[in-house]
Amino acid sequence: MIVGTSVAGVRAAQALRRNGGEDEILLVGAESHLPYDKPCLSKGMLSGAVAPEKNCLLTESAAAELGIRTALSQRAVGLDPEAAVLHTTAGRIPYDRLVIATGASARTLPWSDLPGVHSLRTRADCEALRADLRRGSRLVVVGGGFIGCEVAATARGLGLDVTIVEPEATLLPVAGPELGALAGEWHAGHGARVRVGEAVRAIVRAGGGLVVELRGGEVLDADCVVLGIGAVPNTGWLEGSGLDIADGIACDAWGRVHCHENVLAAGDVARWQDPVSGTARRVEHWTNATEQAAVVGKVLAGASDVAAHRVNTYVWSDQYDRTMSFVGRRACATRVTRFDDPRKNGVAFVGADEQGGLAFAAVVNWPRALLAVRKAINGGVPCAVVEEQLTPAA
Amino acid sequence: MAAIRADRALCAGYANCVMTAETYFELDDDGHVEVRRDEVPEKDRELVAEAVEACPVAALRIEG
Repeated sequence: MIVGTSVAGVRAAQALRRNGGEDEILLVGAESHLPYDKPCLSKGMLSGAVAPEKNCLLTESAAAELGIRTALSQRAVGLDPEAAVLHTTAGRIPYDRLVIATGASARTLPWSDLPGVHSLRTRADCEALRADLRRGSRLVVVGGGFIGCEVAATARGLGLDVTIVEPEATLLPVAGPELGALAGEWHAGHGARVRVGEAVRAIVRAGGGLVVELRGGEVLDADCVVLGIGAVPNTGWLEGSGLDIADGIACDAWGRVHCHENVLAAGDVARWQDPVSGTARRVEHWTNATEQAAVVGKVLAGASDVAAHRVNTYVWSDQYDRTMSFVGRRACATRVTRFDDPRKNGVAFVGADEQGGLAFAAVVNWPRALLAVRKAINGGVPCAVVEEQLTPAA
Repeated sequence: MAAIRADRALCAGYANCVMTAETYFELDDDGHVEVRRDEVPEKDRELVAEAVEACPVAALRIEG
C-alpha cells in the first residue's frame, strides 16, 4: 500500500512494477483528483496554458495497465505499525508493506485564512489562485523563493501588477546571492517590483481588498496575496505511531523507516540518511523525490544490490524565458566564479569548497553547463576541471 | 525490442534522462534531448523506463 498520490508515491508504484514486483498495489490519496504533477501549478496550470486534465501523473488507463488500484478522497489520519493498519477518513486498511509519500504542506502565517490570501501546494490551491488572479490586478507575493518567483513571473505574464517581498538580501536565497541578484534584475526588468530585505508585519482586509504592511513602513495595496514561505512535512497524522517524525520520517539510505521493516517513505515527507555526508536530510525537490521512489521500488521488488541513494539537491525553476537550475549547497562554497556562454546568454556560477571540490553551481539557460555540473557533483570531480569545461576556447 | 520516442519540442534540457541513462540520451548544443540509440534491448528496459519517468515535462516515451 502506498499512502500519498505525490510524484514519489506514483513513481514508487511504477518502479515496483518496472522491477518485476507483482504485489497488489493500493494508492491511497487525500485529494479527489488522480495524481498530478506539482511543478506546473505555479506555471502552465496557473496561467491557463495547461488544462488540469493534461497534468496527470497516472491516468486511469495507466493505473489499470499497471494493476494499481486507487483509493482517492481519503485522508490518512493514523498509523498502527505494530498491527500493520493504516487509518483513513474512510476507515481502516490493513497492509503488508507500506510506503509513506504524503508530501509536505505550505507553511502558513497568521493571515493565511483571510479571503484573497493564498498558498500554492495543491491543484485546488492553484485553481483558487488562478480565479483570483483573473479578477484582481494587484498581486503581492510574500517570499522570493522558487515558488514565489515563479508565481510572480506567471502573474506578470498575465499582466498583473506584481510586488515580491523577500526578507533575505536577494531573491532565491537558497540558490545563493549571485543567482538571486540576477533573478532580481530579471523580475524588475519584466516590471515586477522587488522588495528584498523586507518582511511582512501584517496583512489586513480593507475596502474589499488587502493591505500588506511591511516592517520598514511601506504599505502595499493588493487584490490578492500569495504566501510562498516554504513547506512542512505532512507527518501530523503519524503522531502516536512511534515513528521518528522530527522534520520528516527518519529513513535509511534506501527509504526504510527505522525499526519498522515493512514501512518505507519517500519524497518531501521523508528524511533519508545520506551515505556521503553521514547525516539525514529532508529535501523538497522533484528530482530527489523521483530518485528516491526509484530506489524504493527496487527495494520493494526485492532487487539485490540496490545502491544507497545520494541526496540530490538538483532544483530547476522556469521564470519568464529563463530556465535556472541549482545543484549542491551554496553554504559549502568558499569561492564562486562566474562563467558566461557567449552564444545563448547562458550564465553559470560555480562554487568550490575549501578542498577544491565542487560545492554548488547555479546555471541559467545553458544546458551543457548544467549537465557538466550535475555529472561533476555526483562524481566528485574537482571544481577546477568543471571550470576548465566551462571556459570558452580562446 | 522496445523503442524510445522523444518529443524534442517539449524537452527543456533538464538532463534527468542523461543523468539516468547516459548510453541512451544526450543533449545537443541547444539543450534538447538526442536519443543515441533508439532501440532498447530487454536488459536495459528498466533503466530506460526510469529515465523516461525522470523527465519533468514528459518528453520521453518507451514503446513496445
